[in-house]
Amino acid sequence: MQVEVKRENEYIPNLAVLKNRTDMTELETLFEFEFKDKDLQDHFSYKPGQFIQLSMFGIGEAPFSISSTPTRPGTIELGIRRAGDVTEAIHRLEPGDVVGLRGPYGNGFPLEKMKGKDILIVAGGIGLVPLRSVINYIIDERDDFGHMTLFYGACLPEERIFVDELENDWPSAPDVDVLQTVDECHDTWMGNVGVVTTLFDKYEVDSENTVALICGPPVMYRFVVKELLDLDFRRDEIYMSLERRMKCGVGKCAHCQVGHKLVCKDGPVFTYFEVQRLQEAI
Amino acid sequence: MVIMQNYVIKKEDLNKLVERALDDYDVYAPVQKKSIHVYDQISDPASMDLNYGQTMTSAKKLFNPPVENMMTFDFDKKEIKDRLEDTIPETPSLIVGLHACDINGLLFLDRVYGGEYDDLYYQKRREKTTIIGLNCLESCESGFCRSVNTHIVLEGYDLFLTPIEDERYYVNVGSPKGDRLITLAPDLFEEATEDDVDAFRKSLQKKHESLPVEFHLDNLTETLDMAWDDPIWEEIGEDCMNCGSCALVCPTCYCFDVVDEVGLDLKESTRKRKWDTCLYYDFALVAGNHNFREEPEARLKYRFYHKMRGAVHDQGIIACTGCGRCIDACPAGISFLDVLAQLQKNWASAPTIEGGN
Ligand SMILES: Cc1cc2nc3c(=O)[nH]c(=O)nc-3n(C[C@H](O)[C@H](O)[C@H](O)COP(=O)(O)OP(=O)(O)OC[C@H]3O[C@@H](n4cnc5c(N)ncnc54)[C@H](O)[C@@H]3O)c2cc1C
Ligand code: SF4
Ligand code: SF4
Ligand code: FES
Repeated sequence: MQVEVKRENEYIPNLAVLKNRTDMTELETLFEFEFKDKDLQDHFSYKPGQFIQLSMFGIGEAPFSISSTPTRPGTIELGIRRAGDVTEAIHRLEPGDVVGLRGPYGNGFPLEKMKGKDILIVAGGIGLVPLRSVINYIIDERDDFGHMTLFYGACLPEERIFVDELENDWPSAPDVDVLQTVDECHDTWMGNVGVVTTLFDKYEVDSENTVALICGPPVMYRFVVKELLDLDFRRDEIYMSLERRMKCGVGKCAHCQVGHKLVCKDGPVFTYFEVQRLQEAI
Repeated sequence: MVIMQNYVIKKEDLNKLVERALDDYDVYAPVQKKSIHVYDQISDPASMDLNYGQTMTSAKKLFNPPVENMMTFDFDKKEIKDRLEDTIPETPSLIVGLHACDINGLLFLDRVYGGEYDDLYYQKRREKTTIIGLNCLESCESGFCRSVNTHIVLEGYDLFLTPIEDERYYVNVGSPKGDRLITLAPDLFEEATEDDVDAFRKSLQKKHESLPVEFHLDNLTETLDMAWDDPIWEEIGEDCMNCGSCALVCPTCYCFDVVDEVGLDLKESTRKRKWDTCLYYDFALVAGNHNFREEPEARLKYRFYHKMRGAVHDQGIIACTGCGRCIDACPAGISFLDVLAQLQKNWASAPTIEGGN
């Protein structure tokens, strides 16, 4: 059955109920939402890398990447960091509470172009939120993609998110390597110490037939891109997700404009080739 | 063969038409307030003044008001109420005397608020508004419409009036809504004769002779691609106060902010959108207090780039109608036109009007 998910008025969110919340770190929590409208919940689909606009009524609306994968229908998972008014309020939600969701918006990762290729994923801190969607997607559609390598860097060991998947699920999936690093460690950390780019010295990356996906704090991009270019990655095969302030999510308010592109509609995923030509991009 | 029907109306009869329209429409027209003109609602045709250069603010406010309620959320019932229908007046509107530049401004907004996603708040108002345009035969003080090719308009109006000899207007009908106005007062309109068409042609000729071309659009996007680091931005950035007046009066600036306001009884909240401008400090602020446009000059420059370069990428046309309002409104005396002309001069790679230099 085909249901019409397009709403009459694009700005009016759909009501969704918080089903579950899992605290991941002091600042970040994974929230699982379900639409109240059962038809919509059953037919809601999206691409890894797309985002939704979440409304905390009375406080405001903000964009968040979808962290679940469409290959595992069920709740819509959002990994959210406390950063200000809206995100503080989200962190006070209890199961059963109601919020508004609209979307999905944005272009998402280029899954079609990634088919048959090896994938290198470089994530920093909370940048793993959108990338987790694509990682689980690739694991679920394993035959469509080549080898997958994940480099994940966080400041401290206890600041890592999705630890269970990082340590257990992903390394044990077929044809997947996971390397982690932290900037500073405690006695408990046995792994690599150093920024995420130090992992390039520890692991041989072959750029031939490989697509790179990056997401992390703005400072990370420059350094990671440099490593990738040194390895002869093509500029249009390095994909990065950009973050900007968003008000409408649908190309109307211009808050998210970078150079001559809109992050909400043309992005949030851009190739490095596009980004290097945009003023003020990174 | 079907021939397009054009009419003439006596200038004095236009007032009669407005008089009759007042029964069916909320009528807006330029009115004089002290030394300036603004679009205002009128209840008497005598208060409108079509002999004006430029209104201070644009007609954008009638389609996209400075503040608007989008929806209300009821905390007890956990229900969202769409406020779309409440914010749109029940009575249709009629705007009289919109110049070509402003109609072109609306055509630009039509693109922004249409496309892949609909913005119904704007679109419903647009559908409910009838526009009587007015051709300018002479240039206004700060306008440079001919330089950006917005002195001509082919659509976006319902009727379009061009002054011709004998105190009459030549009337182009642009839409079925325009036809409806004519049927409202068929006695006031006469079918245009061949002499009238001739007079119309003369008026257009007069217009084309009197409107100056101040600079060439030809290579503007190329110029801007190259001029990112031009010292001009720092120079004018020093003067700019980031007051945002230029954007607020502009017919094509459309940036908005969205805020939730909780009612005093704490029972509901209203989501509102408000005009915003990229000149304001927090416009491009993101997490960690990183500001992609920290310096005043960066924000001023961005306005030029968004309108004259970004819009071309996004909508296929520049977001400037050459109305000159930003020039009149700027307390620092910054002229949008002069900046563009200066850039053209510094970077011109195509022949300029002076014959190439
Ligand atoms: C496409 C996209 C995907 C995102 N995905 C996630 C995600 O998966 N998880 C997550 O935790 N965050 C994500 N963000 C960032 C998130 O939207 C902001 O942290 C959030 O809007 C802050 O809102 P606030 O009201 O809590 O903070 P505010 O009170 O508004 O401000 C707190 C700080 O955040 C800045 N800020 C406000 N809005 C934004 C914004 N839209 N983007 C960046 N900074 C902002 C402010 O300038 C200030 O420094 C994403 C942003 C974008 C554009
Ligand atoms: S009106 Fe003038 S001073 Fe004010 S923001 Fe615009 S350019 Fe700057
Ligand atoms: S930028 Fe200035 S001249 Fe151009 S449309 Fe806006 S207000 Fe008018
Ligand atoms: S968020 Fe409004 S234009 Fe992108």
